[in-house]
Amino acid sequence: MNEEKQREAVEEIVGSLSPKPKEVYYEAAHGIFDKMTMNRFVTPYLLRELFTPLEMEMVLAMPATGEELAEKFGMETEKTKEMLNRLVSLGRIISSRRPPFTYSPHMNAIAFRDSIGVGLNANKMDWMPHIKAIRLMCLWVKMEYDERLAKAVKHEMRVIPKYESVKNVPGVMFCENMKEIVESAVRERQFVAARCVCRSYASYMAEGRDNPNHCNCLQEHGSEDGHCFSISRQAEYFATQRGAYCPDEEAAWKLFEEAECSTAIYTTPNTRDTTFICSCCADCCGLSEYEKQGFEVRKPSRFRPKVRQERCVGCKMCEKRCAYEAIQVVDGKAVVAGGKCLGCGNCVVTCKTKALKMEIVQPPEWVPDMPYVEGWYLPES
Amino acid sequence: MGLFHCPVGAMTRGDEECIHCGLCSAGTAEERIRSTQVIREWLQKTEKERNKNITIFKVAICGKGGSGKSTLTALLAGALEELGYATFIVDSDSSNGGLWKKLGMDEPPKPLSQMDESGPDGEWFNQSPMISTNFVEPYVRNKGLKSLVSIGKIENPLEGDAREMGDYAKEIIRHIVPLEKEMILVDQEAGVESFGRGIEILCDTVLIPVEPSDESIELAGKIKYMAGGLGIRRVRAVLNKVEDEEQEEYLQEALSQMDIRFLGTLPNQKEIRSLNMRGHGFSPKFCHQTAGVLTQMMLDEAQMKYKR
Repeated sequence: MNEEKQREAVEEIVGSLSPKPKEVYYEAAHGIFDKMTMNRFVTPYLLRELFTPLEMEMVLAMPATGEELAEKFGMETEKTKEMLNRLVSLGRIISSRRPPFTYSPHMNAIAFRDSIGVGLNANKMDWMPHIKAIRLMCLWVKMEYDERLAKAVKHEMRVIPKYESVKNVPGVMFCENMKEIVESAVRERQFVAARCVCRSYASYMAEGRDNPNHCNCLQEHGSEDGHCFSISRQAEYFATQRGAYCPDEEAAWKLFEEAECSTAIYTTPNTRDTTFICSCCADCCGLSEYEKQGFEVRKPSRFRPKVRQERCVGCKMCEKRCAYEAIQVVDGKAVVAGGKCLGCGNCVVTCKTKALKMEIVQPPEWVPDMPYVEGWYLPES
Repeated sequence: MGLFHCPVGAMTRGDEECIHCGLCSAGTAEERIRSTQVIREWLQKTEKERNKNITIFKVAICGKGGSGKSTLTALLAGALEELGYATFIVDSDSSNGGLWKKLGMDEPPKPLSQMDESGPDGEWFNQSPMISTNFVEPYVRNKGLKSLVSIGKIENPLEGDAREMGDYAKEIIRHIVPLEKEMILVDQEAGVESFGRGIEILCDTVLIPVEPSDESIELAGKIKYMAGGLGIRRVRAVLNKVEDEEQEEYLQEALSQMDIRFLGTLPNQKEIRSLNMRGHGFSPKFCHQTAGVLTQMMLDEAQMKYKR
């Protein structure tokens, strides 16, 4: 957004642009956080809502251990650590998982946004006292379509098909096989579930309260029925540092079944190394906001539904379940619009006559070992 | 700027997984390019380690007698050869002596159970680490990239102090370390009785040939159940002797009810029967035509690379 727009939006949220944030917030904005956003005017105002000036000074001195920060700021070690751990618990900074515990600021915009939300939810806090920060955060991550930006964020994430839709398809890679991913994560006890933080954002922004029924895609009222999954080291981080919910085997499979049945789309970073899988709907999801503007953030899966004409009875169930208008019934038969389809499998799983069957349409290289690194993009200062 | 996460999935800078590529704090294009190089090198260097939990090293082929275990083993070995993989095949099925013919070998390997381990003949057997190239003729036969050893039959298990056959098989499968681009295949004894004697647990993958019969489906279910109990991650079915699409779909559905993933169907049934009848070997080309796709699918599922 241009500066004028940002200025107006910030003014609307915080009331008045003056007094300006203290110098330390500009320093932090410039040194750390401006790299993540196009909306740099917002950054110091956002930071002012998230950190006290002292905390901000400390963030500027990171990465560092509690001991180092205590010494640098002439404070008691225990007190300093307490303060830092509170910030970790609120998702405002990150701590390494094992000693020496090193504290760092967030480095990715959406991860920062999510972390703040997860922190509030995990601590069962009402968001309203922090609503300025929440609104500024939403503004901060907003993007307007721009070709270079579009290229940068293109295919940063990837769709994993519903397991049910590919259970009989040979050649499903491990990183596309929801069941095996969950199985192995549960076995290693590295599986945590969180409720959808996007819905909390959407709900607070629209209704000024946390309405678990803000969208009906997936019923969730607490972390116990949350369907955004963290795997492996990320699960370990959330479990050890943030007290996230680790379902036992039975509970994990229940969550998996619920996600399978919903119209949510499994979304994961576009690499073969799975660290988290969100069950994203088309209503609240931060991604779908970007997609509506034309950013192709999500790379489709390697699968596409094929219609077996003789079996299709034209019931339109598939049409109703598709979030992308990628499948439509024409003259009584389902037709797939290949270009719009993300290969999520939502239409396949409910096809009563099994007229829809998934096919592999891309080679294994479609899922890169090397993630989206080429796209990392730095806005010009 | 990355919107969502670190490319190697580290939680934070300086965390255990952090490879210090500097991408998250890269300020200039040059810094970004340098970071990308660090990441690329890291990916290359760690490829094996990162994939070790999903890579296929040792495959047990199990199923009902007559469902096509040896046929599948031979086809798989031939197809793997075409895709650039060597195979070390352990024949633990004493009831059926024809695997060497299917593999196109001129004579069978001398059974390991007839070997005197303490004699000069057997010294190589106890070398450590155990690798396929330690095995010497006549206990191993080679053809192309394929090697075959056989456990053999113990005529009278009550006589002598010969080891149990299963022990030999187990020992080999436990200790053998596959070479680069090599896979161990075990043609298992028929039925479910031999299952659970400990061979499968040493394998990371179980393949079950399934034919259109209720018995065969049921046995696949039992194998899957037992494999699950043993913690074997990958159980896959290959359909054999299927006559039409209707049978294929029925079997697929029945298998998926039991949570067994389907890997493919063996075509060219008439040719397979004809070759088997005459005791002819399966040529690499024939293996590729018949089992090439399903072998590729198996490798894809394990995210393994192969020659195209």
